Amino acid sequence: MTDIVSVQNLTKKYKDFTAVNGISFSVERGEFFGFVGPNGAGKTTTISILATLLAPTNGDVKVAGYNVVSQKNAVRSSIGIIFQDPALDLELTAWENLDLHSRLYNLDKGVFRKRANELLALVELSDRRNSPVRTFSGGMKRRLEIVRGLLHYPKLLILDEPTIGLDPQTRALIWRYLKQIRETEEITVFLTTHYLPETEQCDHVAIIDRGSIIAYGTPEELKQKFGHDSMDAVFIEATGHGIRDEELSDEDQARVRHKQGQVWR
Amino acid sequence: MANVNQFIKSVWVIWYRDLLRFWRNKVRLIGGLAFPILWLLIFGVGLSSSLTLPVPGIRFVDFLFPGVIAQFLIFMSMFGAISILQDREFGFLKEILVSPAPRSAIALGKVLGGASIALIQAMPIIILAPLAGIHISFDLAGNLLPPMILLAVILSAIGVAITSRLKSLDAGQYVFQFITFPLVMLSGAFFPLRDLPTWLDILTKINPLSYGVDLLRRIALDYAGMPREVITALSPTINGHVVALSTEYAVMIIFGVILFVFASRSFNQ
Repeated sequence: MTDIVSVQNLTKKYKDFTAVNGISFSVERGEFFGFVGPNGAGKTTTISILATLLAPTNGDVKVAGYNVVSQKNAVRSSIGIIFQDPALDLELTAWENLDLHSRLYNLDKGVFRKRANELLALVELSDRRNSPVRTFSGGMKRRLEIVRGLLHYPKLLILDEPTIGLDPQTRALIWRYLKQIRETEEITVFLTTHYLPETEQCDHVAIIDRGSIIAYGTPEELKQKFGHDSMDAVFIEATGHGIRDEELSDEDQARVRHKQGQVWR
Repeated sequence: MANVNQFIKSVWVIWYRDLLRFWRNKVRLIGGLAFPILWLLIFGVGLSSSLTLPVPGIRFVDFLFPGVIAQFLIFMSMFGAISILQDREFGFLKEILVSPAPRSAIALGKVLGGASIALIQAMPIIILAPLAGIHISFDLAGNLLPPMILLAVILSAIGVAITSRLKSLDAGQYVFQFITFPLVMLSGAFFPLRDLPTWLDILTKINPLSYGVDLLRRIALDYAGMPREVITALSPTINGHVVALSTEYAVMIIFGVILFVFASRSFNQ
């Protein structure tokens, strides 16, 4: 069992809308995996299923060897996740946010302190540990979330658009951290992004569109296959030139479509 | 045993976060003080000059006092439960739900966090009651506490069971108005639950708050030196008999356990 993520025939339907339509792919242990696609293609839905936040309609999904439906807790302990929108408690300090996380993941206190200090130093936030997160910039929040996502030594780090809305300097910094982390620990990184040049550094890239995977390979393979010399061009060739709905994530779109004006979930 | 240990730890983390946030938010701390002062002074003292109770010998403010405690616990418990919707809106709920913490522990932590904050915020009502001419002693405060704890847990459980199933903060505000208003109005907080039309009588009897309000009232009026006949003349009756104090406790505990179990399943979907 070398694959850290194994997805077989995964389908997710919201009533009559199919967000993910029978996709299959796998991610090898230790690799850097890029999952790209236009807005509404099914990226966030897939990630939510990998993270056990959504139940698949159909298909078999395993993360770190555990089934995401029947072995939720084992999956949850194995992954670290950074969501598209910040999921920090803004009223609390950086350290308190990390402390809560360590307790939710049942980390030993001594292990937590050492690990948190090391990671905060890595992302250069050590001096801000006691500041309320409310006072943090977007980039600082992201860096703190990376620390938090790595705190419990996950086998798989999932990042949903980690660099969205950040300036080029911060983006470069985040990439530097991710590289450093991959050099020092055995971790698999699964990420989605809109900045196609970022996928050049991935070991494998899967392009998803309208709920189906339309291309898969190393960046080199994909460039050869589509006859382009940049991932940007590959992406546009593969998914077409039309502009997609920019405002909502695919999951939200489906909700809006079916739950407009509804009070209950 | 490791599972039990993790369960308790998870409940504790969720509870601790709620209290930490409450302590940080000074506006909420101070705002919580304004409500009881306004109620006791304006309504208690103001209304008592124009309203008389069907039972002679009881001052309106003494009658109202337990009702104010109950009403305040309702508002604060519901307000506490709304934090789940804030967490959903601001993303933090995902951080909790993606963690290995047991779902039932998350829900119970929320119930206990909300109940604790509601109880802390209700303390000023008791401390400031002398301002409205109500005599308070440590003994009385200590005796009021058990029914207050039961009420706070029941109400927070109702709040958590509902909010966890709601979509947005907006929806929460409407749904809560719709729920808190009948709960308060049909609890005996503002009028004695006697000589009501049958349909209203049934509604007040299935309202768990009725028994909590009556418990608080019996305890408070007993300390105020009212004769037993006067006090029980305000209590709910079943088949013409006044419901016993122990029965009221039993009903509250049964309601509490049922709602606790119901709330614990909140995040299982």
